[in-house]
Amino acid sequence: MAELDREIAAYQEQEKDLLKHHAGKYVVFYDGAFVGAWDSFNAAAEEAVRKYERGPYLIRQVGASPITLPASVVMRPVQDVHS
Amino acid sequence: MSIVDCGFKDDDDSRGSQKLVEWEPTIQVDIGFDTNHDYANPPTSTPDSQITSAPALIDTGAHQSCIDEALAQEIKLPVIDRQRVSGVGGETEVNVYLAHIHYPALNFTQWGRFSGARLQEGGQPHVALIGRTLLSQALLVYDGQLGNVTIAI
Repeated sequence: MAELDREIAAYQEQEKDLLKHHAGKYVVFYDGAFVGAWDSFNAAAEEAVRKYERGPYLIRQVGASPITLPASVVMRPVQDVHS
Repeated sequence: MSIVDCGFKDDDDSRGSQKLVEWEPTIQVDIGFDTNHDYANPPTSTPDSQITSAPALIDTGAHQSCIDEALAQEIKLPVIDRQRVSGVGGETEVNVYLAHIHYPALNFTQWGRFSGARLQEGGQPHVALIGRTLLSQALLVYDGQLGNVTIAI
């Protein structure tokens, strides 16, 4: 995972500039460098796969907020308390 | 439009409604990543999957679809990000994978980013969660009294 650490570090270093110029866009980082910004995830992913196949590369939406995991999974009981 | 039954029927051992409570709505899926597939122009062909006919949970509580973390590592899906996520258990960081989930019965492929969810580790029987990003394109009918669930895309 070291390569992805490098991509994430590169993103974080440039985050202020990315928020200024590419807010909401999907950006790709490869080999520690900014590759480009696209309007959709699919467009960014298609270009990343075309150029770098399986990577490693970072694809991230600039300024995206955290997602929510489903409560149904977290709340499934691990054992029957009545047995 | 394709229609698939994702519920459970009565049998000698238990009622369909009870099995639906235990298993929740379940659909069979194929999961993988195929660098040779043209994801941008479906459905001219079906992508090659690394795992086939695996149970996925249709989960209206999930925003995005997720793939089991252990499975994603086992079939070596590309990691494209790490992300903070939150739920009733609090906040944690998960891997984000580039992959497809193919629904053979619906002749439909969902491609994109999928968070890794620790399902097997937690004893969950499903290998994926099908969230609202897919359900936004579907019609879902849930009859808890009979154990019937139908999804159509």
